[in-house]
Amino acid sequence: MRVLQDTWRIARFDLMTAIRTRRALVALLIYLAGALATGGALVWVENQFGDKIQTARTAIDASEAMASMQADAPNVYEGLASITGGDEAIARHLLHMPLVLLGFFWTTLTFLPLLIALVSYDIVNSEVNQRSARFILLRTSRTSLLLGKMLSHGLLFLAVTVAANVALFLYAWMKLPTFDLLPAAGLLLRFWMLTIPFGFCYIALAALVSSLVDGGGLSMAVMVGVLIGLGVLSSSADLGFLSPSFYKLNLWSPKLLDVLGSALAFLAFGLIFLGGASARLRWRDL
Amino acid sequence: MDVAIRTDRLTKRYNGRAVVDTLTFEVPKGSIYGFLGPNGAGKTTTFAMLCGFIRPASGSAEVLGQPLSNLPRDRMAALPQDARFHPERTLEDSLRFMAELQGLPADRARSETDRVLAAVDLNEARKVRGKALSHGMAKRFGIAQAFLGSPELVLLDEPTEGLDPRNAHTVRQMIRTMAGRATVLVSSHNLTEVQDLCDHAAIIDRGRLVAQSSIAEMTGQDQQVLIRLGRTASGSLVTLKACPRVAAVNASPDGLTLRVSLRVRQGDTVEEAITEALAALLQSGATVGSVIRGHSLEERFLELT
Repeated sequence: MRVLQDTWRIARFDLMTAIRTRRALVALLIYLAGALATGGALVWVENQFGDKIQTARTAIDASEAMASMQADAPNVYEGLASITGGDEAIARHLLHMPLVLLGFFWTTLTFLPLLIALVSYDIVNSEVNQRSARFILLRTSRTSLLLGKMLSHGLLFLAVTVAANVALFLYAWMKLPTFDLLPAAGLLLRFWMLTIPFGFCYIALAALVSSLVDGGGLSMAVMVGVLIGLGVLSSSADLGFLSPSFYKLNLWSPKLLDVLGSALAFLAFGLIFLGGASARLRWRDL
Repeated sequence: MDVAIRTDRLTKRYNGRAVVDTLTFEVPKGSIYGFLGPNGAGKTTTFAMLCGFIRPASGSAEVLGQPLSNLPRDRMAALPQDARFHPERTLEDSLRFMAELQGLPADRARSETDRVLAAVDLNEARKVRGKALSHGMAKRFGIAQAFLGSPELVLLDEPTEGLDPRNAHTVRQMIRTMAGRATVLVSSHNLTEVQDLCDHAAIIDRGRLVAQSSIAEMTGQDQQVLIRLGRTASGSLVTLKACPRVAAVNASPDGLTLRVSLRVRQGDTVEEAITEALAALLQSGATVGSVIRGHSLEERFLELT
């Protein structure tokens, strides 16, 4: 109980610090810029190819739908193919979703790990290097410090994605006559729910890197390197399952079990990274 | 004896070199305990182990009856020497945050923040951010956070270092007010301050304990007296040495400074022995300039380190 109370106190203090130091604002602006640029492009695509996309949506089977898309709107087809890795069933499932929301989720899955690397690279070592951790650790455990910092960063990213996506959502609603508000809101909620284990996994990875590497700049470089490494690893036929990126595709799946399996995989990776960070922090001198 | 801190062969090594070496000492509960040693003796490292910041290589310690792996954080406070205050937050925000982390409810955290800020004369600087603090202000902030709430044990690493005389005096007064209510472990290079403030002390050198006792024992307050004469007289030394309560006399070459070892018998008091020695000197025609009981702690420190 005390651990949870202290975790919340540390998270609240750290979040207020992020707001006052404008770190939160920078994160929001970067994310908002990315989301709105993607959203704007997709609103344009939907306006341009809306009737063709609608034809594909009514196709009887997946291959027919994708063939229709390939012929009538090759850019949209290529975009979907790149998201789904050529899986036609998933691509057809995605066709039934508003392109703007697909864009949001794609932006999140693609750029959130990078944003986390840029903003959270010093999640642990900043407190350790400044020795401000000592004033905290006089009063609470290392576990509370770690969890508090992670919760603070998690809440920051959640707030940033929610703010950016509400903006994107309103923009699409105003610009697209075919934008159906209620189903889109349900879909957005589902994407947010999936973003939580996804984001947790990468924040935990940042915490692990930041507790292993002391220098701030170095930990950012290592974090980016690890992200690239995990991306490369995920494409390996034999060892791809060892990378969280491997489980990204199934988050788009029409099958609920596949989606839950992927979310659980991200959660499991997050817990492994968190366990590593906690062990490192527990045994190191601060 | 109730003990607040007990260490048993506590050792910390860096790169194979022991900076704290099988250190064993006990801090009596309720005492103001001086922790002395030259630079690099291992004082700060010992403090860091007792606060749980760093882990001993071997040995063990108990703080308020709890092992280092399970420190009673809600019952202890500390001024770590090299801890920094959060650069982007104000003094007030940070102190309130720390008070709440100590488990104080929000209203008590606010009133405690006000109390300690006033105590270290930082009331007007409450909105100053950590990065804008001078060395002295940062030190006073560190002291303020150590006095939040009602800790049973306070560890203060060099609390008056870098403070101006007024603020150093304030800090000493704050430490004195803790006497009897809490145990205070103070490390300091200011030996006069320690002698004045503490009732017990340990001296360490190169990571090892070289002495530990009450200040009275350490400085020989009950065994020796330093007498400075204004004028000496022939026969003064002989008369003094003939006193039954005087065991030995060491005189300076000019005969004006006398270190007198006392022989205090059962039923006698030190004061009676000193009075007898002074009476003998005055009777011989000498005049007395000053009398200091015991060694200074500085002399003892220099002897031992």
